[in-house]
Amino acid sequence: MTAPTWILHASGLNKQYGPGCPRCQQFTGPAHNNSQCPVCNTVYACVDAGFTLHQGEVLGIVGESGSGKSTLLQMVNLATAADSGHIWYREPRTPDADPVDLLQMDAYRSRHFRNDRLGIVYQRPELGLNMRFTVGGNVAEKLLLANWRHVGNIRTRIRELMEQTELPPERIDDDPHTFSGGMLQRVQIAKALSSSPSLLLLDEVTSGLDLSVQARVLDLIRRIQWEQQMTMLLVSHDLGVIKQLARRTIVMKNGHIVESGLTDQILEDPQHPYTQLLVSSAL
Amino acid sequence: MTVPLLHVKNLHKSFVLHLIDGRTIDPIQDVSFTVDSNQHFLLWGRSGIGKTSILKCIYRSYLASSGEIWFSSDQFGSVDMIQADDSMVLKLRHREIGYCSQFLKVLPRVAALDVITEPLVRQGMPQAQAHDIGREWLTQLGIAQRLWHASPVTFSGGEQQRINLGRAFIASPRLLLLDEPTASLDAGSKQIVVEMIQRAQQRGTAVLTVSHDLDTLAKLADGQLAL
Repeated sequence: MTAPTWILHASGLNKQYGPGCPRCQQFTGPAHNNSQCPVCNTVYACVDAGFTLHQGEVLGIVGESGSGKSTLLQMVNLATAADSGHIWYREPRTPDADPVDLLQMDAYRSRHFRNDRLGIVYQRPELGLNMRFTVGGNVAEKLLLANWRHVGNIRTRIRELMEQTELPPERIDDDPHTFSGGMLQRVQIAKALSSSPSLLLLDEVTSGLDLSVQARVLDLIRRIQWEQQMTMLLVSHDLGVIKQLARRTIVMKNGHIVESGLTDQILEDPQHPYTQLLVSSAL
Repeated sequence: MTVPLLHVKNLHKSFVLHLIDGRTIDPIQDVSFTVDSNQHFLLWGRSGIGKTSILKCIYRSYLASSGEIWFSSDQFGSVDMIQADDSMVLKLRHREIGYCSQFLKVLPRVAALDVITEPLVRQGMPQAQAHDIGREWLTQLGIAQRLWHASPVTFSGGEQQRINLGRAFIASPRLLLLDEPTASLDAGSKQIVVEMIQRAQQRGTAVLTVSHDLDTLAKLADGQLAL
C-alpha cells in the first residue's frame, strides 16, 4: 500500500473565548451571521474545523475579518491553544513513521517543532520580527533556536537566504527600520525559511502593500513553492491572492468552515450563499 | 467490450443563485455521451445552451448536481469525476486531463515561453529541456521569435488563443477539453488548430471540443452531439 501523501490532518478544532452557555448555539454561527453569543458574550473563533494538507500543496483559507481564519492558522502554529481537536502531522523526511498529534506534544517538543519544522510570515512585520535586532539578527534568532551554533555558518546561511529572497546580502547588519514594507516581508520570509521548515504559514502576507510590491512578494512565494515544493497554508481575504497561489481553498465565516473545494470551483461555482457573496464582491 | 475513456451519464447541473432570491438555473438536463481514446468528439449548439458547463463539470470547475462522469484513468482505473475527492481530481488534471478555456488567463509578468512550457515543468521536466520543446511549439504556432520573451497579455487575441491552445496540447494529456478553440481566429490560425487536434489524436489524446464553428471542426470529428 502506498503511504498517504498528507503532511497535516486537522480535525474537530475548536477555540472559544468565554464560558459558553446553553443559548450559544441558538445565536451563533454562519446562519445567524454572528460569532459572539449575545447572552454570555462568548466568542466562537473556530468551531469544529478540519482540513487535510498534502505534501507540496498550497491550501488557501479565505474569509472576512473575524471569520476565524487567523485563529485556525495560529492553532496550527501552536501559538493559540485549541480547546479540543487534533492536528496530526506526518514528517515528510520520515514518511513511514507514525503521525504525531501536535496538540498532544509537551511544551519542549512543541517549541522545538515550531522552531524547526514551521515557518510563519505575518501581515505586520513587527509581529514576525524583533525591530530592535538587525536584519541578520532576526534571521539568526530562528537559526539559534533550531540549534545552529557556529557564527560563521549562521552568517553564511543568512546571506544565502537574503539572496534567495532578493534582499541585498550586504545589508545583513542593517536596522530593519531602514527597510521598506516589501523588503521587511522578504526578511520575514527569509527568517521563516531559515530552518528549512516542512510547512510555511502565511497570514495576509501581501495585505497593505502597494500593488507592484505585492506582485513581487507573491512572485517570490510562488518561486519558493515551485523550487522547494514547499507545503503552505495561506490565509488571505483577497481572492486574487488565493487564486494565484492555492490549488484548494476553504472558506470560513463566523468561525465555521462553510465550504471547501478546488480553488477554481470555489471561484466559478460557489455553493454557499456567503461564498457567492464573497466572489461577487471581488474587484 | 472496450471501456470508453469518458462516459457522461444523465448529467444534470443546476445553479442556485442565493443572492437573487435563491433562483435556480438548469443549463444541463440529462446529457449522456461517451468519448473513446483517440476520438475527437464535438459538442455543438447555440450559445447559452450549456456546452461550456458540461466541460467544466467534467473538469470539476463546476460541481454537477446529479449524474455520473466516468473517466478511465491510466493510473487510478475508473474514476467518477463527480464523486472523486479534490486530491484525485488534481492528480488527474496534473497528468491526464487538460482543459483549454476560451480566453488565456496568465500573469502579466510571465514570458510566452514560460507560459507555454509551464505544464511540462510542472510535470517535472527540466526547464532547459521544456524550453527547447516550447520553442518548437511557438514556431509551429506562428508566434514571432521576438515575442517569445514578452508576456502574452501584450499579444493580439489570435496570438493569445494560439498560446492558450499550445499550452493545453503541449503536455499530451489523455483527454483534452477544448472550449471554442477556433473562436477569434483567422483562417490560417484555424488551420493550425485543426493540425494540432490531428497531431494530438495521433499521439493518443482524445479531444472533446465544444464549438459552434461546424465549418472548421465538424469534418474533423468522429463523434458528435447536438445540444
